[in-house]
Amino acid sequence: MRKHLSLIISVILLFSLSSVQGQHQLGNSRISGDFGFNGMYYMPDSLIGAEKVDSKVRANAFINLLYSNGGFSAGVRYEYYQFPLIDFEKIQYQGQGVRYFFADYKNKFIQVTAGNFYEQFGNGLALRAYEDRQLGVDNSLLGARVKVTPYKGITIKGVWGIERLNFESYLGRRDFVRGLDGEVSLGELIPKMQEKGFTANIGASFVSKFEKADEAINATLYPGTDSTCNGEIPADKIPQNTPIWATRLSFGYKGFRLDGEYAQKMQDPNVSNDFIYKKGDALFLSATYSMKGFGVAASFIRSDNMDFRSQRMVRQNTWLCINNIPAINRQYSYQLISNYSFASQPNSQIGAQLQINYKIPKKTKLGGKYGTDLTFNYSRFHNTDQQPVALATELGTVRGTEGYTSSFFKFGPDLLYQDVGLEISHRFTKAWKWILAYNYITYNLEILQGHNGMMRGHLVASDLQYKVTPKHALRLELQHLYTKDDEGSHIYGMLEYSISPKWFISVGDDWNYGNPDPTHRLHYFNISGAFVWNTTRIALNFGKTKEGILCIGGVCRAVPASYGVGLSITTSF
Amino acid sequence: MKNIIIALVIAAGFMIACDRIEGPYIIPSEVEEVTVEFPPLDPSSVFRKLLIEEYTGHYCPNCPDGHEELDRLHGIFQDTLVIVGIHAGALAAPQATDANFAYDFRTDVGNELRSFFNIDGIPVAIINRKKDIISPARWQSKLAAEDRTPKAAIQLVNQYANNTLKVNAKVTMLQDYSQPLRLSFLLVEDNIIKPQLKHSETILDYTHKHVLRAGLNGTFGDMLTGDGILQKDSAYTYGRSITFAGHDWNPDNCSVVAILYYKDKLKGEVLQVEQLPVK
Amino acid sequence: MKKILFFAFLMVASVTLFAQETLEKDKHYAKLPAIDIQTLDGQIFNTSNIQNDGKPIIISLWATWCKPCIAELTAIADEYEDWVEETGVKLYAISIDDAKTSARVAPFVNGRGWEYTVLLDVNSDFKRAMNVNDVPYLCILNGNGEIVWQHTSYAPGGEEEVFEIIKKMVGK
Repeated sequence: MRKHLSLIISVILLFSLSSVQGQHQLGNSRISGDFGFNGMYYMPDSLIGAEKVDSKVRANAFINLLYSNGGFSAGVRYEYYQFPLIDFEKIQYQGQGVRYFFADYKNKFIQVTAGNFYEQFGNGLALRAYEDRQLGVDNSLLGARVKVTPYKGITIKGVWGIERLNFESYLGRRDFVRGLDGEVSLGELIPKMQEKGFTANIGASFVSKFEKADEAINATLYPGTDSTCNGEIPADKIPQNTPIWATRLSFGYKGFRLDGEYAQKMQDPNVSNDFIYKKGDALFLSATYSMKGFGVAASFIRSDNMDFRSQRMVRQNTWLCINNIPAINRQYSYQLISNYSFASQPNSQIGAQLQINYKIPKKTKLGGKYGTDLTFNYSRFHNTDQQPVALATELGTVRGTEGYTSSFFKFGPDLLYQDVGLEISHRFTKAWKWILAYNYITYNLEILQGHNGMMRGHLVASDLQYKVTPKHALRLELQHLYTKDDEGSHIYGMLEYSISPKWFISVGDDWNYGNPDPTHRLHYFNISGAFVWNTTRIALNFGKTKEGILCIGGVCRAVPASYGVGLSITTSF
Repeated sequence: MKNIIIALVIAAGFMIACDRIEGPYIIPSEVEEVTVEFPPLDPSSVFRKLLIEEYTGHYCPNCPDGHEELDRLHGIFQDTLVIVGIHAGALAAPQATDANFAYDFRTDVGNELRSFFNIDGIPVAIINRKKDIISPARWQSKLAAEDRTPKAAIQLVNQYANNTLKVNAKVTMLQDYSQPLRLSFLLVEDNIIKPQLKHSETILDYTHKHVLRAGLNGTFGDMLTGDGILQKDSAYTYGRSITFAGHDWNPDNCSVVAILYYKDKLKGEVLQVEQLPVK
Repeated sequence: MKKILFFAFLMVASVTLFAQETLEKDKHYAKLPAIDIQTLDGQIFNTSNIQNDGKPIIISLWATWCKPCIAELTAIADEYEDWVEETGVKLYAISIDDAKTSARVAPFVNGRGWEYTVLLDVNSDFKRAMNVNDVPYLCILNGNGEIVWQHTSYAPGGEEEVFEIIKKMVGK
């Protein structure tokens, strides 16, 4: 009980503090911060698979403080995840203490950061140190960063750091990351170009990981192969330095814009690619065109053997990821397909995405008084084509060989994900607004989640909003996922009543009526209420969460089934 | 101009940050000759033992519950249950914000097994190298449901001298087996006194049992014969060594776990497992 | 021991903050942090350049995958012409979309016919410097570039309050 007491008191204390609204400025110095608390009281429910949790009250909490004065700034974050929510316990995000602090100085010419920092080179194919608190991802680097702008339009960045892994100590770490990135903005260098409406940027990055190698790797076994060779990869044959380089270009003229980045990774035998010595590479292309009322975006990605981490024996979650291969499919927030969100496959994916936005103009027959927004979307992803090299066939294992060859633009045999969708958003009157969407999704359960087969499903989603008065509104969400695969069809309904800007209350239910197992045709209900006051948000909810995955931007983690009462508080001050 | 030169110098510095390894990358592993005599084997006295590989960590508050459950199960199954405690993942690492947990329990073998079996939350266990990740409440029922028909026997003889352990093994097949078999030797240590988090308490002198220390033949062991297919009554001998020098392992508390198993992407089976103290 | 540390930390934090509160009475509003983000065509843009000739500014942090964000910006878009006419306000919509979706921000915004100035915060540097936990986040800057009002979440009708505040600010 004592530990809960300390949690509760800390929440009350912090909350009372945060009622001090507005940022604080004295002269040029400024202190600001934010605080988040996410707690839950768990109840067992054997039907949905919510296990008994040893201590029923769990919570995640953190506080950020930032100080700035002119070009100088410093910050610190304290995290309390000693008894974390079970999702975070699952990914071993457990512990407490200060794991993020920095001091930063910047003027027109140079910026120097010491401590923890987040950074991204280009599109992130070579380096992306980032955080996502909801997912429990924090890949910040502890070290130093220097950014110089020697001439207007030219930026050079250099970084050195050790990547964070949850609450693991940095002491005794045998790995680090260093990188260099340069970008030239031709538009800024050549004013004539900019005057004519052209913009063009070119950039290049070089990132290298060091990890000590002093133990041999057992080379023989790979499950499912009939290796007849007893061998090992001796320590001196394991590269300690693995570089990755990338080059990028972007070009814009009026409403048209083209982006491209190509990255290549040198020898990096690791547990995710089964210790092959093949080079990895990735290509990301995106072309967009837009004018008032119309926009089209097409993008392409191919990535092969590009899982790049600080430690070669790690492959779970997003632990120690140095780069980030974007999942370019459209991201949805529909409840019923959240479980079938495509997760980026850095080691093997090739695919494309097309999205068209069109606004039927206001005051036309179809557009009505306010116009109608249409969004069409198509995407398809396959694995890459892979033909084992002769030596791998001979040995019966790819371990310690060049692995496979791959023809660059060829789609591999397995479909990973496909999505066709149309969304219509229309406002009838000042009070009524309706969004209607249809999607047909094909999702490879075997490769993306380790179950069997494919999921093919039709989703129809409707979101109807009615403003009772200018500040009172009702919103009704209805969704139906029709599928014969995986856990079968679902139907979902949610009604929300809001009083702007302070109050929200909602009830919802997700009914898995089509589960092939009749005893699992369950209801997952949820009741929630929230109170918002400026930057403070307090939300209470009670209900059941289905076991599944949570994906944010193509990065996913498992969510265990749970049942209970949750309280979440966030604020900034 | 000066800046560009500086940039080039830095870039040149980074070029050192590349390693280029020339193949071949694999060297054949050295299997040692077995010189010891094994006692005759009575096939009717062979028990098929069970292997439970527990994933645990010193900073995992619920893991002591798993340890207690293993103690209890050991009481039930006695020496027909062989336990390996695999400390891997962020909660087995030295902790940044708690100086009591500075020891690093992790091993390359454990890290790779953890990645291979896709272990996330702990405590959990893998029984007989099957795909299922099992939480403590179901360990007993899962163990009880395992097939106990003896398929093979392993005899072990350990030789320890000059800080070096040599394991000699003899595998005798009691049935034909058509899948390729591997033999893996793991070194485990009992009674390591180090801190452990237990719920909200830190126990400074916690007794860690059956801690995985190393693999004598890598993470997955070696293929038993050329084609891996073994016939009834055939016998194979096999030897491997490991040095204790440079490690904090206490040979008096260490033992060797020999695992004879088959594994592919979907299935897996442990035919036999044996444990023998180093000394 | 951990608990003691935690409480000590809280005490220090509270003292700092309460001390700040007394200072706050002098009505020194904070200004925006100066952070390098990007324009839609990939050029570096420093947030200290956010300005509107002494007229009020609205800053909205949003993302293409965030439903309430889009609802809020769509609701404002329907009224935006009137707002600009009456108060001269300018809205900066800063997207926190990362590399995955940031290329789609321009077509998305144009496709919907939004008249806002759209900027990209691809690695959430501005979001972090503003201490923002979740989007949608909206703040109003007065003519001196001081943050006078902030809000998270969106409920239908929330735009009315925003407009009230801006009208008050310009004395209407």
